[in-house]
Amino acid sequence: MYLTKEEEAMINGEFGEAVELAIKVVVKVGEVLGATRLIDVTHAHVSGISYFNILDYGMEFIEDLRSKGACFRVYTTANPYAAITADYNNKSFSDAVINKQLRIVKALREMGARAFTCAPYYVRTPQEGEHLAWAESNAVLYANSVCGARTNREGGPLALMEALIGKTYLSGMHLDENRVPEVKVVVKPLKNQLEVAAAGYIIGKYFPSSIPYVEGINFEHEHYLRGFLAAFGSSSNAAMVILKDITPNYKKLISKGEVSKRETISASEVREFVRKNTKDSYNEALYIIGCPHLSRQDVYDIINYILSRGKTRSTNSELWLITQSNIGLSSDLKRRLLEYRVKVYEDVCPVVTKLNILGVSCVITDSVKALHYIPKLAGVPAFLLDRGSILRIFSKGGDVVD
Amino acid sequence: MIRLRISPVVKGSDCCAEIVFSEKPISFLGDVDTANGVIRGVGHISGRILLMPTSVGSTVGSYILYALSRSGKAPLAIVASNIDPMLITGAVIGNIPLYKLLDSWNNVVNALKKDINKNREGCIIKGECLVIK
Repeated sequence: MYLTKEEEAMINGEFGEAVELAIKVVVKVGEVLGATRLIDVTHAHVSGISYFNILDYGMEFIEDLRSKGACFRVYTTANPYAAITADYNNKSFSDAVINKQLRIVKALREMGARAFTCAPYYVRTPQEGEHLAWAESNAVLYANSVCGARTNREGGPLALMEALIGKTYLSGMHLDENRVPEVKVVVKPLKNQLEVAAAGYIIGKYFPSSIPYVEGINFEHEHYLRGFLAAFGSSSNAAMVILKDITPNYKKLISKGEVSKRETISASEVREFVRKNTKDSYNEALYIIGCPHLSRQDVYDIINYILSRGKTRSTNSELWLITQSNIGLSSDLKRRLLEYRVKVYEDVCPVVTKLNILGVSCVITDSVKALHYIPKLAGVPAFLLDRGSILRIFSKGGDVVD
Repeated sequence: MIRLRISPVVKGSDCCAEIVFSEKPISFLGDVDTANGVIRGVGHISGRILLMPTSVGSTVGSYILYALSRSGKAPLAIVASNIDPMLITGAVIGNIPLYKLLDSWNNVVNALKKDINKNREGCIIKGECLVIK
């Protein structure tokens, strides 16, 4: 691989031990993937920071880097961490777990992490054509498909290395020739946010490694689009979806691609998927909205809806709204919401948190991505319910089902 | 004796050790006991040459290779048929020699399965060649 003078100096240790290690990793990966050189990125996004996933060895690696003076050389954000701030039926996490998670967060902050969220595009929205080094599939899909920025689907530790040098390898989604559709999918009209997300998951199941060109979906709100991309990312390895009327220059991209297969997704197929993942009774569940993290607008829309309808009748359940702290929600408002059995958690992710430790018996969510990962990572069963129905349960006059 | 062509990805020195063979892809996150250097369903890897088709699963698996190194339980070298970014990242941060197998994986599986219980000690990595006794 061709290296500039600065990159040579990095690999020879002139920028310190952490940078030397980082550039060795990125160059090796690039060489194996056929890259001829490295390119500068404007924003790195690191995943894999939940203590429950990376345990002591991940924590020690990140702390070890920091102790060697590691500092991010480019604007860097990180994924949300385990929901150690959460409690459920008066149960919370042990001090040992909380402290270890906080050590990981501290080391990343000291290196320069600006925010902890799976929606880094709300912290710093990338421009069309920008090169990024992002891990976290929903963010990667949003960057490539909606912003027209360029990033591969990096692994968490690899994105950390790229953040330390501010560079990635020139390969994959950074090159025009790979940003073209390989299959075409037409989706028949769907009725709500949950069905749109389910369609994303089904498309990924059909084509787990191809970039699809998708038409026929009406993304009524932006959260429909984000839920769709997040769901697609849980069943597919692709880093991009080309969406009619949304992806920048989508017409040009279609004209350059060769579509080898076509598929139509019917509303009945989507509804069957949702039905199979729905629960008959909703007693004593933890409801979660915010995978991916809610935007500021989403949070205020939800809160206004709940507050305007008055308190719900008795319920054993609670609702968690998951978002990032820089939306500026007041602690007064959070306290008021507690009377509605609604809690707001910021900068964390319940999906990468062992919810079984808190005694959660079951999660109900409007996110198909969360449905996919919660049983594996959080250790509890999960079911689907659309956002509108969930909100009606937590406000007066709704269908109180428990 | 089986002679296989390999190409170094993360360079190491020539070595001689027992081969541990995994017919199936390995998910480092979940399948590995880092304290004892054991991969579930595969066996002890510490100080041995791990021969595997590819890795699967979470990219956090890179940290597992680092952990194996830290606990002194890392394999002496890894030879994989498919080299992916998770494996490369883990090998570099864990300082574990990593080689790409150039010969067909199916041929390797067929050759090794003929005599599955044979002791595979004294196997050698020399330059771009892996010799399985």
